[in-house]
Amino acid sequence: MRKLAALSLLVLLTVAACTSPTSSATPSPSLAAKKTTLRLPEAAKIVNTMDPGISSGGAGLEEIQNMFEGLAYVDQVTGEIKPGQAEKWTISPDGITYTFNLRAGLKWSDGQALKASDFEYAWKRATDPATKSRYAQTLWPVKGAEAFGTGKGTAEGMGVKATDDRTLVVTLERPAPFFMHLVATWTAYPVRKDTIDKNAEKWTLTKDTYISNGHYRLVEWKPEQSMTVEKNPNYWGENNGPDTIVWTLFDDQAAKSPVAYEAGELDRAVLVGADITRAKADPVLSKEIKKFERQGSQWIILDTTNPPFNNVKVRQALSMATDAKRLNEVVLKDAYFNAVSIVAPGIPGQKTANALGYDVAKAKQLLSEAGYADGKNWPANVKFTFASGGAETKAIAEAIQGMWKSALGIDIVLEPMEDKAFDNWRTTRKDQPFHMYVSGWGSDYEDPNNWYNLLFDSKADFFYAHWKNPEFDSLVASGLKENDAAKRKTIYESADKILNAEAPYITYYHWARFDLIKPYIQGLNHYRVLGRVQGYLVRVNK
Amino acid sequence: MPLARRPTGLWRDAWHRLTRNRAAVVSLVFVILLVFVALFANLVAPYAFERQDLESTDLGPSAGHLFGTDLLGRDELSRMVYGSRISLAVALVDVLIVVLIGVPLGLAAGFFGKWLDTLVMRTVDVLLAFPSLLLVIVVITYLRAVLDQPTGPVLAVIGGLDNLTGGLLGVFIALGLVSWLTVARLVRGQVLSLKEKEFVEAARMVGASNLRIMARHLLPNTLAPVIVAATFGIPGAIATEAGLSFLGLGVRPPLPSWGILIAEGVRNMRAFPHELLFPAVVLAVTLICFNFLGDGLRDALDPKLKVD
Amino acid sequence: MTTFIVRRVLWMIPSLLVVFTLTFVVVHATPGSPWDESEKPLPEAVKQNLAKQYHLDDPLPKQYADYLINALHGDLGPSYRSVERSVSEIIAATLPVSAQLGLASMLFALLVGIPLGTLAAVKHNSWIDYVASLITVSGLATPPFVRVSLLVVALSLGVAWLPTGGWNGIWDVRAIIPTLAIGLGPAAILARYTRSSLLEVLGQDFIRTARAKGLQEVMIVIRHAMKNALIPVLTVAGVTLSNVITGAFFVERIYGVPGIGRQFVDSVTGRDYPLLLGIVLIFAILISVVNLLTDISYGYADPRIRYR
Repeated sequence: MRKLAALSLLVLLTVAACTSPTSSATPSPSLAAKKTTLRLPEAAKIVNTMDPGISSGGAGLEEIQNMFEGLAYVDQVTGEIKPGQAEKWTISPDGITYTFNLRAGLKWSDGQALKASDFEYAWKRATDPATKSRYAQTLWPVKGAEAFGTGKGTAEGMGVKATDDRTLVVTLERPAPFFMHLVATWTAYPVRKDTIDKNAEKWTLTKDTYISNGHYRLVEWKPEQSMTVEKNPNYWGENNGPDTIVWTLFDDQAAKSPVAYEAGELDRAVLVGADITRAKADPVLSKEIKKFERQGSQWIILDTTNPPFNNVKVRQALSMATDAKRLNEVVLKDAYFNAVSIVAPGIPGQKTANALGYDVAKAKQLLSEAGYADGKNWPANVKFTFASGGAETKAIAEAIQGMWKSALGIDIVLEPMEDKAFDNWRTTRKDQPFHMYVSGWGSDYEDPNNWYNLLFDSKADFFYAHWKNPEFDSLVASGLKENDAAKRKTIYESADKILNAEAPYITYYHWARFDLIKPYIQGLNHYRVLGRVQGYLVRVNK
Repeated sequence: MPLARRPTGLWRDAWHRLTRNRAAVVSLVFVILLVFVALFANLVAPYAFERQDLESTDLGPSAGHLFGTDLLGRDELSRMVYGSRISLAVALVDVLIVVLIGVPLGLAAGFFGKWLDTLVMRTVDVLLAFPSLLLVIVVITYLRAVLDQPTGPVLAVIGGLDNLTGGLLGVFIALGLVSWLTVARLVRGQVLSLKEKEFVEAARMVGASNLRIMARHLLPNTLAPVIVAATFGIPGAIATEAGLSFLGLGVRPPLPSWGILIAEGVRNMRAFPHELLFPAVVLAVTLICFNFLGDGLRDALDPKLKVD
Repeated sequence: MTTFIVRRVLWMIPSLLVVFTLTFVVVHATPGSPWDESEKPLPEAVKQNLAKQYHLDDPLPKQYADYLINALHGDLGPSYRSVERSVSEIIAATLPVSAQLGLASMLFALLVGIPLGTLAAVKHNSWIDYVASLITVSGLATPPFVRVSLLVVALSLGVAWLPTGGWNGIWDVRAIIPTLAIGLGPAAILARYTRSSLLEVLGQDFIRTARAKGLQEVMIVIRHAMKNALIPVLTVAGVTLSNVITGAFFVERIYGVPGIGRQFVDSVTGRDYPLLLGIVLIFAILISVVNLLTDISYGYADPRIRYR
């Protein structure tokens, strides 16, 4: 190591004689003295398209959400749906027809008028199979959309129509109480027909062709390197945020963004693992830590029809032998929130008291009641499957393997799979047996429907746990139809009780965002559902 | 080109020269020590490599843990001791492939010439057209993805082998595709220049068979560069395994390997530098020793080298 | 010589075809789809539509033929994971970056490695030799991914004036760390080969004659020895190219250089078939050409070598 340092120093001195260091580290254009810039990290890998109609979310979404605005948007502090491009909307009594009234004088970033027909065009385009959208199913609740999207219908048959320049009428297949959340997603953002017609898929690449309608507009996109946006002078509302936002794209945000942050190149960094310990111990960094809630759970999913997991006592035993608190606080350095239940907190119906908790003595007892006292008769080759791409998952798998061995005396075999192969394997589990695998879920919107009905109902069985409980099914079915909020909550709480008791899933943490944020930045917040940084809310006091 | 000589004198002279090279001797001792540690890992290591202790995670070096502990409280020294097995296994497979595939193919191609030579050399060219690491990644990704859901008996057998080798089968196969290439070329080149020499003519006149000529006369004279090439190939193979583990394509957890230790260490480098320092230094020393050993062997086996 | 070149060039065509076919077969046999399902699985209907739009549901032989025919017309297809850029555009954007970085690293390796090796040979077995050897071997003792991380910590955070990542052209300060990280390995290899081949040449008769004639040591070294010593160095050039590409891939990833190595691995793990096949073709052509050039220069440099 010293030799390497010596050599490095030698070369350094040689090179220093030939080059002069520049102090500029950001790829942004030259800034006038008083202008403010916000510098954020982003993951390089997935920003594969900036087209709102095609994007599947993930990395790139933050940029899209800063440059575009839909009919409505989700408030990043309260989570409420607020009017965006539409100043109001009315829903027919039968819940099928939505009428949106756009604001007056809406403009695109190049100054041209924005009309309701732009929304109609965008929605139809996103649903059109030829567009190759990766998130096409978002708008399928609209009448005729699924038929059109699967090649059985036409664009004309889709229930979205601009009746005049400022009115958009949407007809649904059936009532959907969560539809406004879908309206706020990026797939429903308007896009400009003329630039797409002229430039085809290249319309997102340059500032002259990437015409948007949000708080910011594109300045420059260097693929896999950086993206720069500036305030959109044609946005209808106020924008007191920074004049420019620059995203630096990293292949491994968790590894590289703290380094860039500490070198003064970023205003925000993503922290994971050992960096969290280091930040907490550092006198400067410890004051810049911010931990945000994200409404999601990470689980081990058990095949409830495959021995030994077809016995509920075995599932409960394993759940109670998993020290989630230790796992999060010690192994993961408190990067997340300790697991308290299967469904994430904040969803009506979730009740921490329903959870099984951590109790090794009880776990041992349950396991021996199931016939596997101290690991006797435990089947060989019980597999714990996970995607090998993430370093954390490996540590978690090893830790849990160790916990179960020392608490219950059972052996499991770790089965890491190459990422894509894992995705493939997972989709085939629908009618294939397995033992257990790791996955998670984050809310699309804050409603019990997005968890209990979508994931755990035996007809949906999103994660193929093959779990069927008739009482649970009927409870959530009635919860879906219930309009009274209080009654609904009670129904789902009963369902939650059954879910936790049956333990088809073992939660080991709830999602979080762990950031370092410079002290001169104010207002940087991520809402716990699909939250991204909204630039216009941020103040850069430098 | 080295003079053609009969074997016995060469080896004795070589051994003398080798033992006079201090660096090579030290390296040899270290390699022998490493082999010993790998073979008797369960005696040498103070703890079982998978033993976790969530009360003592990420600790620096101490009396109880000479190299400290990792994020699950496992003893780093023990993990490194067991990890040496992986590195040496990779080194061994690499040498075996060089010797069992590269040398015979090179001999045959050079000696028989014509279509055999063309076939072997063109295959070498095709395989060399891939940068080795990238070829390795493709092979391992394919194997991993396919073996995870074995369909049919063939894949099940291969899957079994993979489990046996701790998930390294892909690495071995990929090395197998790549390590023998340069040696085959080297040997072929040597044979081409040697086969026109008088002693081969003489052997043929006495009625020696092709096999005998190749084995008794040509082979010993090609051994020198082969040994050297094999010794130099080892650091490359070990570094490749380290790089693959860094990418998550190496051994299956919870088996430790130096590559995995370094990968984890790089991640925790600034918070817990000891987790990178020890495996990186041990890896570095090992690579250096193999390099110096290769240097020493080359100097020792080349009779024309001036030694002052 | 001309027949040799023509034959080798002709042989490149079937070689490339074999490389392409092998990659095509292996990659399509690997399970997993190009669509991102890491967060939420896509509905079956959406996946089927995407497959249809990208012709992934065509029979494999048709996909194979289509790709080749299009490639011959210069169209390498769309990238599945990058909607805005076609494969040709991605390669056109990233290949120059990697080429610049590779050339800079090779230059660094030459400018550091050869002098260092020469010094070590001329002062053979003195302390200068050992120190130089140690320095160069350090370049071999750390894998590239460790090197780049250490360099960033030492030079960006420690000495605090080099940027921690990114790319702004080869003349920009951001190119320093990647060049160092990649170039140290080949520098070490070149140093050692220079040392050993120079040592071999220095022991030969014609050098003794030159010394007897009274020529100055420096003149001897430069004029007579170097020319002959550079021959083995040329053969090693091919190996160092592979090293550079391999090292570049890690460094590009970790340091954030938008090069083609990064694209390759991402296309393998992301099943972006057109991009993968396009890159494989480009690499295969490149490496074959470099190997051919090396062999030709070898032939020119050493008149003793005859080519069939």
